[in-house]
Amino acid sequence: MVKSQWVSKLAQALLVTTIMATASVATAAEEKKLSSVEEGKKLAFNKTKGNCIACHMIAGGKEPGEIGPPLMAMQARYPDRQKLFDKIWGKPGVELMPESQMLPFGKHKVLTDDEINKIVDFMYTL
Amino acid sequence: MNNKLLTTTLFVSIAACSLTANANDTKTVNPEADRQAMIKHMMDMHGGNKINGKPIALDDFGMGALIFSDDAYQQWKSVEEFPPYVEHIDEGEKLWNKPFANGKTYSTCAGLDGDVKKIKAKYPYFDDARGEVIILDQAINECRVANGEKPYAYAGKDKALSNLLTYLANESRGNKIDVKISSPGALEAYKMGEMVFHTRRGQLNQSCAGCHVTSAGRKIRSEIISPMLGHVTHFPVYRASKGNIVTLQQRYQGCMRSVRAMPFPSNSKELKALEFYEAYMSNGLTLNGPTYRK
Ligand code: HEC
Ligand code: HEC
Repeated sequence: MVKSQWVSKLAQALLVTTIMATASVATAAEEKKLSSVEEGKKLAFNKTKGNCIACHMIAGGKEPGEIGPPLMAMQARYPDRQKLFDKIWGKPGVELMPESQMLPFGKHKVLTDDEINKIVDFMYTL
Repeated sequence: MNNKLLTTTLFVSIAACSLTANANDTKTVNPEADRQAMIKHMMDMHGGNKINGKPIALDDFGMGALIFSDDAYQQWKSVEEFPPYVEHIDEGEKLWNKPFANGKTYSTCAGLDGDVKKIKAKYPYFDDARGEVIILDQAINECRVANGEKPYAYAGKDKALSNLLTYLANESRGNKIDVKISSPGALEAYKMGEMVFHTRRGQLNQSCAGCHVTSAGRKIRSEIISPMLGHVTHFPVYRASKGNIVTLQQRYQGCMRSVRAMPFPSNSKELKALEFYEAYMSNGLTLNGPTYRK
C-alpha cells in the first residue's frame, strides 16, 4: 500500500513537471495569442463593443440573435485572414448583400483595428 | 440644416431598398403601390404565422412583435386583464375634461371637437393651408396655446401629454387608420418620411427598414423585432421596463439612440413625416391602443 501511494505520488509529480515543461516551451507569441483569443471573445459578446452575438449565433454565447448567419467554421470558410478582417472592418466590396445590416465596425470607429484583430483571433477558434 | 441634423446625417448612406422607388424621383413615387408592396412582403414573410391557433390576418400586425411568439402573446394577454395603463387613461380623461383658466376645454378646438371616439383617427394628417403634417400631440398643444395655456413638452417629457394621448387612444379603439395623400405637399411629407425610414444612421449604420422590414420577426439578442406595419396602431404603450407611458415619438427617438444616432428633435418635421409615412403604410388597420409592452 505504502509503496503504491508513493508510486502514484511520483507519477503525479512527473505529470506536473511535464506540464510545466511543456508550458515553458510555449513561445511568448503563443501566450499572447491565447489571451488575445480571450479578449476577442469578450469583445464579441460585450453589448457596448462588438455585440456580434446580438445578430449572430456564436458557440459559447448566450441569447444569440437571428439577423446574420451563424459564425462557425471560420478558419475553413475564411482561409484568408485579411478577408475576414475586411468583412468586420467594413471595407467596400465585402458585403454579401447591399442592404446588409452587418456593421462597418472599423470604418465607423465602433472598434479599433487592434480590437478587430483580437476578434478575428477568436473567430479562428470557431 | 442645423447642427443636430448634421450629426444625424454624418454617417448616412441611403439603404438600397427593393421595396420602394428612389425617394428623390417624383414621377415614380406611388404611395399606394408602396403600401401594397409592403403588405405583400409582410404577408409573404409572416402570413404563415399562427397566433392562438389561428393564421394571422393583415389586421393582426397591429399587435406588433406579439404575432411571432405564442408565449409572449399569452403573457401579454394575462397582463391585459388588469392593464397597468388604466390609471393613465383615467388621468388623461380628467385632464381632457378639466376646463382651462378661460373656462373652455379641448373640445372647443377645431380638430379636437366632436365625437371624442373619432379624434385620434383624424391624425396624423397633412394640412395643406399650413403646409405641414399635424400630429395629435401637436394639436393638443396648439389648443392649449390658443387658450392661453402653456404647451406641454413632447415625447414623454410631460406625463400630462402622455396621459391625454393614452386616453384618446383608448377612446378611439376600433377605428380604422385612414391617412390621405391628396396634394403635392402631402406627397412631399410622405417622401420625407420614407427617406427617414430607409436611411442608415448612427455609428451603428442601421435603418428603421433594416430592422422593422428586413429583420421583422427575427431575434436581435433575445428580443423579437416588430414589423413596421401596425407600429402606429397601438401607441402610446405602457412599458414595464420604464414603469410609464411611452409615446410614439419617444419610441422613434429611442430606436435612433439605440443605433447611436442623434435623434430628430421632438415634433420636428422629420419625426412627424416618419409618423405620417408609417401611418399611411398601415392604412386600413384597426386602432388598438394603448397597450402593454415589456
Ligand atoms: C446588426 C446586426 C449585426 C451585428 C451586430 C453583427 N453582424 Fe455580422 N452580419 C450581419 C448580417 C445581416 C450578415 C449577413 C450579410 C453580410 O454578409 O453582410 C453578417 C455577416 C457577417 C459575416 C460574414 C458571414 C459569412 O457567413 O460569411 C461575418 C464574418 C460577420 N458578420 C462577423 C461579425 C462580427 C465579428 C460581429 C461583431 C464584431 C458582427 N458580425 C456583428 C449582421 C450583424
Ligand atoms: C437595430 C435594430 C433597430 C433599428 C435600426 C430600429 N429599431 Fe425600432 N425596435 C427595435 C427593437 C428590438 C424593438 C423592440 C421590439 C419590438 O419591435 O417591439 C423596437 C421597437 C420599435 C417600436 C415599438 C413597437 C411596439 O410595438 O412596441 C417602434 C414604433 C419602432 N421600433 C420604430 C422604429 C423606427 C421608426 C426606427 C428608425 C428610426 C427604428 N425603430 C429603428 C429595433 C430597431
